[in-house]
Amino acid sequence: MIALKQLLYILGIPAVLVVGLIIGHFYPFLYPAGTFGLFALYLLVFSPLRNKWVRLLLLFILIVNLAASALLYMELG
Amino acid sequence: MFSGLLDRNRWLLLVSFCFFSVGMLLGAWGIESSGNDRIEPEGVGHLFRNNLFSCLLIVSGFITFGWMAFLYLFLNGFVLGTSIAEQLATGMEPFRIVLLLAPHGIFEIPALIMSGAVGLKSLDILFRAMVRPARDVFVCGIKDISLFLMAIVVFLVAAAWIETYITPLFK
Repeated sequence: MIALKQLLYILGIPAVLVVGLIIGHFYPFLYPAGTFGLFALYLLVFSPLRNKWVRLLLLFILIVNLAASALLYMELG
Repeated sequence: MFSGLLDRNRWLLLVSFCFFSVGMLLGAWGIESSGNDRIEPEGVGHLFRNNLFSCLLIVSGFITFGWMAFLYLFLNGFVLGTSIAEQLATGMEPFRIVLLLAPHGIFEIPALIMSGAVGLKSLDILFRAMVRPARDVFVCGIKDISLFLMAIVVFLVAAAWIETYITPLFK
């Protein structure tokens, strides 16, 4: 069961990036949040690293990418 | 302080250097057009801003899990390689190219490579946190990034000053 969970976690990494790229293709302003932001969120939720400092770093990456998407939306809109 | 910094980040610096070198070699190898679209320097401030923008693009690898660092290190190397190959193709002597590039390149290229190390630092922190106490890794990482950023600014100021006042002497 644990091996299956780990396999799903590893398979999810490229899947999340591909989903992000597809989202970014249709809505270009979502590239930062859809790719790297979504990837940070995926690691934040499913990563086996449950340390406060690592989660802070991932949260920082997520927030910066969300802010980048918001700025792109305001510029493109 | 700086010897410890270089020792702790030698792999990041090496990877950055490799990407820059690969870009440079491919740029020199794949030269086709000799477009004349290079930026003419308008003073220290203008050069500093341009170089700082390039470095910040590479540093943004920190929030993109290294992707922007890889991409822009490669691109900067590619541009330098193309530029050298173009000058060689126009018949300029290799020694003169070295004279035109080396005085400011000796500061600018290390600044780009250090920017690459900062851009790859988030990946480094994530991987190191798996095997060492995460708090120590994090604090050490923030300290290294601060030192690198200070060194980058100092190097870029020196490079811009040299490119404005010293490099034209060899033209």
